[in-house]
Amino acid sequence: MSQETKRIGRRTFINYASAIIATGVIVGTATYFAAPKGEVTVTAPGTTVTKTVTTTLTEKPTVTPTTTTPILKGDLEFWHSYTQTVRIDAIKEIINKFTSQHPDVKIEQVVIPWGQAFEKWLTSWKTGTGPDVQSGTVSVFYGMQRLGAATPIDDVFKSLNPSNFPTAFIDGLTINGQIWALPIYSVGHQLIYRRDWIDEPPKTWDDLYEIAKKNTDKPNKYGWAMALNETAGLNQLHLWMRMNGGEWFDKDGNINFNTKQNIEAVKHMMRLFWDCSPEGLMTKGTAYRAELTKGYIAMTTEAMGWFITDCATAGITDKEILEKWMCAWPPIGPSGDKKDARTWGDYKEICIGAKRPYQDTAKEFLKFFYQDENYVSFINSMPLGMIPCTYSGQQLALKHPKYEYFKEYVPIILDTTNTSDEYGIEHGYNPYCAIVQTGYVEEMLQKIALKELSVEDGVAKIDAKLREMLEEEKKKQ
Amino acid sequence: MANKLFKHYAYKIMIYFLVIVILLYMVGPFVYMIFASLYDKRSFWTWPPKWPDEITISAYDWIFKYTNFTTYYINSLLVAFVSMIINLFISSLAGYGLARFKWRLNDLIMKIIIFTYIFPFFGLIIPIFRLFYNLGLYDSLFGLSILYAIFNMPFNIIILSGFFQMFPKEIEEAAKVDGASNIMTFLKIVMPNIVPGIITAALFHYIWCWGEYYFAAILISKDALRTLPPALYSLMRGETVFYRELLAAASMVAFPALIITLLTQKFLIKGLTAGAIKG
Amino acid sequence: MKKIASDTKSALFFILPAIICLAFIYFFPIFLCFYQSLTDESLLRETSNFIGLNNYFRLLNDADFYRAINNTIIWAFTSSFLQALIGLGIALILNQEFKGRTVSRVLVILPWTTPIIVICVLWAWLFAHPAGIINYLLVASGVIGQSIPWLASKSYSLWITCFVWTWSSTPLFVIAVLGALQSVPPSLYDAAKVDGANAFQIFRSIVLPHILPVFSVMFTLRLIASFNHFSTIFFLTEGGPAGSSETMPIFIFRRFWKEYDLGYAAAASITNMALMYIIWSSYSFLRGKLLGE
Repeated sequence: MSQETKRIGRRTFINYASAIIATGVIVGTATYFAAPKGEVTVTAPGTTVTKTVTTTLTEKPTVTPTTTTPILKGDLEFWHSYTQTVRIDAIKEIINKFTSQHPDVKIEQVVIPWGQAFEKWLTSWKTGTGPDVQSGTVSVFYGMQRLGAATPIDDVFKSLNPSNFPTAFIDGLTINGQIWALPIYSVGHQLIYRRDWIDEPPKTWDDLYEIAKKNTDKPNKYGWAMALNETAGLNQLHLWMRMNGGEWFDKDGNINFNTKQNIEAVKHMMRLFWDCSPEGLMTKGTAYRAELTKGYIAMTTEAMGWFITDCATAGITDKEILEKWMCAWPPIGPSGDKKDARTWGDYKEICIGAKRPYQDTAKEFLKFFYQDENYVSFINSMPLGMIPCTYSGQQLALKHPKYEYFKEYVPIILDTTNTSDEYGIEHGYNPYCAIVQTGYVEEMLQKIALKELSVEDGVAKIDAKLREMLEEEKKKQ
Repeated sequence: MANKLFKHYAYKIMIYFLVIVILLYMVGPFVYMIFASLYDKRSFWTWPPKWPDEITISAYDWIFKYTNFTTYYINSLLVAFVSMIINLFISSLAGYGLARFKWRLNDLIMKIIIFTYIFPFFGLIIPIFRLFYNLGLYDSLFGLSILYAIFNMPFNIIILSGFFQMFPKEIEEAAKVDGASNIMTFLKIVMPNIVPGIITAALFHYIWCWGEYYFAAILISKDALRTLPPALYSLMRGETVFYRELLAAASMVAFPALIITLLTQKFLIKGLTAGAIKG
Repeated sequence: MKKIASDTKSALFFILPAIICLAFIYFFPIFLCFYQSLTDESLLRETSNFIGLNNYFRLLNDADFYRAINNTIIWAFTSSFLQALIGLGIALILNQEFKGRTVSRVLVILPWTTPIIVICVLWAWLFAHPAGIINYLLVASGVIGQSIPWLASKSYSLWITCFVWTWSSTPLFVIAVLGALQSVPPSLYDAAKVDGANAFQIFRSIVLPHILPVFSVMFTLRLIASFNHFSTIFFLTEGGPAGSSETMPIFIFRRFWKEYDLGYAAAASITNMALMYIIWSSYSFLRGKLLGE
């Protein structure tokens, strides 16, 4: 057999070999380079009308002029990560109302779990697809904006009565004098504790540790719950740092992590983790909240409203919640100051994607979404879990019966929400704040928790890495 | 005599004992999963664990009420089926070509196919995503089917070419002497004789498709087009963990595989062996 | 000579469709991946620069990379060996005569036919800490004094993921060995019994030669699959805690999706492939020597 095959001429061999390789490479390269070359924005002189020309391989170039025709059309995608069914249903209802007014419009909700949200969005951005309407964390939005994937929405904002929005929110979403996104809700974290086990909420960190220790009886009872994976670890770290007067970035936007306050905060966290918290939660993300409903954890920091929603999933009645759980301000750290203390707050925005053909429809939908009635129906799908970002919305939302029922919690929830902030944006707009969330900080926290690193070394390493990443990001401009 | 009888029974008892241990190990977790999915909410979310207050199918109700579970299910079946047909057609052709003809490049091609089989797939995601987007196959079940069909091709070519090598060449040559062309021989003589092999490859492909998560998550974003694994993932990693409901969904996802295995068990055992010997 | 030409033509006819398909999904993306590994392409930018072999040098200085390689080799070999051993044992038992044999054979295949995400959901829940049934049973029966954070401990997480993967793919070996056992002619057993051979001798001289070819092929395929396996670890621990269960696929995934470093991830992919090719070919060489193929 081998002798026969050897008789194939060298030329034949080369021909076939090159034919195969060439097919692969040519076909591939052709398709690859025929990729959409992004968007061509044509701005006619003297007007603010923007024409977006999108080219793709399969579709003919479509020209979508921005006009003010009342007839809206288009298929929109609304990307968000609100996986709870109550919120999905609330959004679905708003969409149905909108599409019944505009029969040519179709809007689809695309629900992406947090773990996937950023990668999904990045792939789509890299390839020129992407959401028409997007809702997510402010830090991801800053990334989007910096990369040119968001569109300014001044016109939407102006039509929505600007004085209805608290300036604190709007300042953070104003970039280069333009509004790029609208705040959708915010909610701060509180100290949640078992009121049937603990009489008085702790006043100092040592006090907190003592109470947690006293309520720990492994493996049936734990004084504290701390997850160190995904954003859950960051949330608690941020909360303790800010309670102790620490920060990620200083006022000039430089990294300022390796400070006494932050080291104290990490030490405080680790003490709680080692002595009072189930180690198994280390690799859990925000889903660790569900463990609270099993009733073996005495205290943690979380958003009370979210916990109430979890309780519904776990079959715990409202009455039982009131009997068993209470929330309070987390205690202030040894170097902290009552006046500057902040908790961690969940800030979500809603924005409109660039490079998309039906931006007008998307803008109209956004206006529709922010009509008080619709907006509040979304907010109150998770009562106490989302605090509205408009004054009129707040007034309406607080009329929900659950606010009356859980009136003990309401002042604390509102208070903590008003004095909360997010990682990286302690001092307002910071385009680089997303570097905190690359997963490096959590990995270091896990290493400290596993005693591979001392607290001081860990904090120094985080500081160094954040500086390095900031440098890298700045170079990429 | 008594001794022999005793030995016989001791042997039987040992076998049954071992079989029970094996079944506990391999099937026990599934039984427990189904049992847990029948818990009521309150008893499920309790620690330490306790016997359920009541047995209920409310978790299953929830799955059908609040998620498009039926749609995901149909999508998964559809993708698995369509991609299976495309895949089997092309890879059996290639497997036959590689096994039967003395072409100088065959060895090289086999090597390349093994290369592709061992390549870690993350390097491929962005190019594949772009390609599919440009071809208009993004967010389309047909696109996903094509991807699955091709992605699993190296493995099935390896398996199937093993089968074709097993098939006696003399029968084919007899057919060719009678004047049948290559393609006719392939379709009329060879294919019917390696049905076990085809079924094995099909089953392998089906199982791979049924569980594939990553491409389904990247290439599909519309809810109506989702397949099961990404749908389960969003229940698993959402903001609220629906573990009881997740276990209920998981029980239902595990179910069809059992039926298919039951139906194809005979072929599978024969097929895998034959295919693997030369693979 | 004419025969050869027609063979070439027919081969081309049969193989070409597959080659074209593979070109789209494999050859071209791998080619592009190789190119990317020479650039500093990032998901966060639209342009990239050619930086030569810098990504590879970076890789060689990366302690995490060595840990990932180490973990991968341990993980893949352990799980393949365990799959083979447990699979062989189960197959030998299921090959005996007993009531309900067919049913047990089908049931045993179940873990393999179930999607890996379901398996991970199931085991993550069983192995949960502290509120997991395995910990509960072990503590209640006094086997361990303190409950163990299986998936969140440096010393266990790699082994637990390895166990779950082993559990889910053992049935493949069971099927393969059962099939091979059926090809043993019953007369051989009888002859051996007449000669007074004991169970171990029968296994060594009759059973083993029959199952060895299948067994070794299966082992190769499982080894490759285990080397590239991603889902189990991703769903159970995502490589944590602190990277202690991070294998190569997870390493690449994290560079890719957590640091958006396309170039670096591509370099890691190429290196991984080269490494696996070396392992694979030395393994097939060894197998050829041992089995005399």
